[in-house]
Amino acid sequence: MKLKTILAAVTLALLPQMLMAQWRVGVNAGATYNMYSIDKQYMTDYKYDGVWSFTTGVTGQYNFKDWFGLRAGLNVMQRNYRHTRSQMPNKLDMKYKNTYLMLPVTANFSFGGKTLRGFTNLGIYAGYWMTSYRSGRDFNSFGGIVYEFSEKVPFYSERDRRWDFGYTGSVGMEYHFAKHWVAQAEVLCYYSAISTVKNMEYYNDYRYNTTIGIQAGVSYKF
Amino acid sequence: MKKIMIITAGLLLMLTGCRQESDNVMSYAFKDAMAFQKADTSFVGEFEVLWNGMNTNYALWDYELEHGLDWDNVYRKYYPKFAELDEKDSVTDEEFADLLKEIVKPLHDGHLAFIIKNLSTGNFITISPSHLRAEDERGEEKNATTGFLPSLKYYQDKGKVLEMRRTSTNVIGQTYRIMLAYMEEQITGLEQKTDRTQDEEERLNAFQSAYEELIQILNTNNLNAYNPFALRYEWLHIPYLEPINLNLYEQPLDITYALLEGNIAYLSFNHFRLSAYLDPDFCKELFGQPTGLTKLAVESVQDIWYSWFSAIQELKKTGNLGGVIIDVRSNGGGMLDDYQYVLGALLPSGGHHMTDARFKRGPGRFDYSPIMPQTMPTMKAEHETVTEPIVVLCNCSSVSMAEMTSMGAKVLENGTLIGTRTWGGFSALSSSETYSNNYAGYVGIQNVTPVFCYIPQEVTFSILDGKIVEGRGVEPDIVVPMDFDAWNKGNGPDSQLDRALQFIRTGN
Repeated sequence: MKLKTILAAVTLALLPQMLMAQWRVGVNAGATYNMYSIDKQYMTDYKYDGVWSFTTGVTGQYNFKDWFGLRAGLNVMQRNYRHTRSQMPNKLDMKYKNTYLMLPVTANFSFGGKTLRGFTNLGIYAGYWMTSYRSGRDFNSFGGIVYEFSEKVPFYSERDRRWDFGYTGSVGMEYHFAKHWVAQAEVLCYYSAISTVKNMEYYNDYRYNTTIGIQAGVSYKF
Repeated sequence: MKKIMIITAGLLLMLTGCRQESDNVMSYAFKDAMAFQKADTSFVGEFEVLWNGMNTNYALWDYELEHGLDWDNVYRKYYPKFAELDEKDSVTDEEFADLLKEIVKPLHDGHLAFIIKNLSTGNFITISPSHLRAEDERGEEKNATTGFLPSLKYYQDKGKVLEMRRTSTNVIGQTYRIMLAYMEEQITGLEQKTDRTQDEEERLNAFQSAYEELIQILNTNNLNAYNPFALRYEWLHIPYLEPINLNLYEQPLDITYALLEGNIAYLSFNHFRLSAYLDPDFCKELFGQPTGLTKLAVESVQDIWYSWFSAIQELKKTGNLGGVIIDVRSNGGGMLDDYQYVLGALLPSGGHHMTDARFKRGPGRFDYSPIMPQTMPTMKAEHETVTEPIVVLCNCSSVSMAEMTSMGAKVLENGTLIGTRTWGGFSALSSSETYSNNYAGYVGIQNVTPVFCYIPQEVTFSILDGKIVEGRGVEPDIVVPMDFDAWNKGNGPDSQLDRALQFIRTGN
């Protein structure tokens, strides 16, 4: 009863702003560069390099003011990385392709003129690790064979945390090129706060993704 | 500006603070003071090294999980028990061994072994999970097959052996009876003389001392004392008493070649150590320019293997080869390179893909490499490929390379595996020098650090069903138990060999 009362009050308070608000929906696509961080401990020859990939998705934005809105998206994003070892040059080189479904929810602040505006988004995201593939080469030290491979990486329920949560932000410019249309370009960052490896009871080995990228999109304003 | 800076600092703090730091991982590959400090003085410290070393280095955690082993639960359950040991005034070796057995018994790796110091008594306790499993599951067969050496005596007596040669690199074992008999004879002769000269008196005393010392060396198996002994008594001219190259005793080889009725070439040996004799570079490295008994032993191994190989080649060329039997029963395994001199000597050059392997690729329990083909070496030199039936004989004490050879026979179109299920220890170990290649290998140093774990760095998969074979071994195509009563230490028929002969002769 109490919750219902609060919700009704909030709705009433926001109603005038909602009536003034503006919806927009859009599509976007871009390139991402993911960096995988792992505590290398004594494995000093391990190297994890960032790898470029892509992101694509849809967004919806609800503007309460001309300078403030809420934006949500649903993106398919690759968060790839490359693992090599300086101790085994030309023998171990694995490129991981990890596909995530990302749901960012951000506050959108915009500024500037009516046609050309700058904006920034700050918020949080939830992600789901859908697939993992790896390709490259590895070394069988018994046969002395460098093995080229491309394979699906199995998920271990004991190891892999497939849900991801973290912070996201972007800055960009938008161009209102027609009455109902906006084009946007932005640089973005997804910073995971959750390890891709599950916590263990007596030993924890945390590994995180940080994804930066550039993307462009168009939105339709209602 | 100040506000912006405060907000930026706050945001950065929020972002970086939300990520946790990993626990420290120790490298236990060497006697690192920090890694073993606690284990030197407390049972709990030993448990932590054992648990963490296995947690980081063991390559079969997914397999163990499938079999219901929760390694975290092991910590939960046994840490307090080790803490209790620290509170006790004394801990017996039996008590400590029982506790260790409880922990490691569920582990499936067939090579895995632990040598852990009882801090109370100072004794090192050795525990092997695969031995515990074999005793539980097939104790009778394990006991019967341990140290079993196939014998063809019965078949020789029946006239079914066309040609046979056998040798052993255990040259002391081969000659000590002759040496002892000679010394006994000399002692008796000298003792019977009433008017011994001073020289004869010295010789009598020396023979008596030498006799006692040799018995002592044999009883204690103290090979390091043998060469000084041989040099000290060289002047007595005892037959076969001379310094030997102790590399002959690194897995002493007992090897037999026979050509059985029907032109079936038979080879048996107790360890995969053939490369030490057959690879010229390796042989030179181990034995240099051998002399005396060492030369005889080295050359006789080479000669016997070559007799087997050349018999196959010649019979094959003339179309008279009946088949081949490779007997790896009770063979304890050894060097991977030996494959080229055994099954690989019958196959085309270029290697034989008969299993797959997966390596450890990081400290996480499930950090694995892709599953990669495991190709065993086959003979490089030009040779005839055998298309006739090849039978490999195996039993419960066929371990490691003996199992790889068994698996090789199963995979071959003209190969058949006969006998009983093998040990279940495929995953090969390498030395600590390659520890950092695969993040697995020895934990600690044997009999130096309080905890030593012998941990294979990879896991082997069957290419027949794609499953891990560790702990279960290779199931023969034709299961035949050994009738040890009938065999009667070689005086009677060998039920497994008989089945192999029947299969080759009849195809069934």
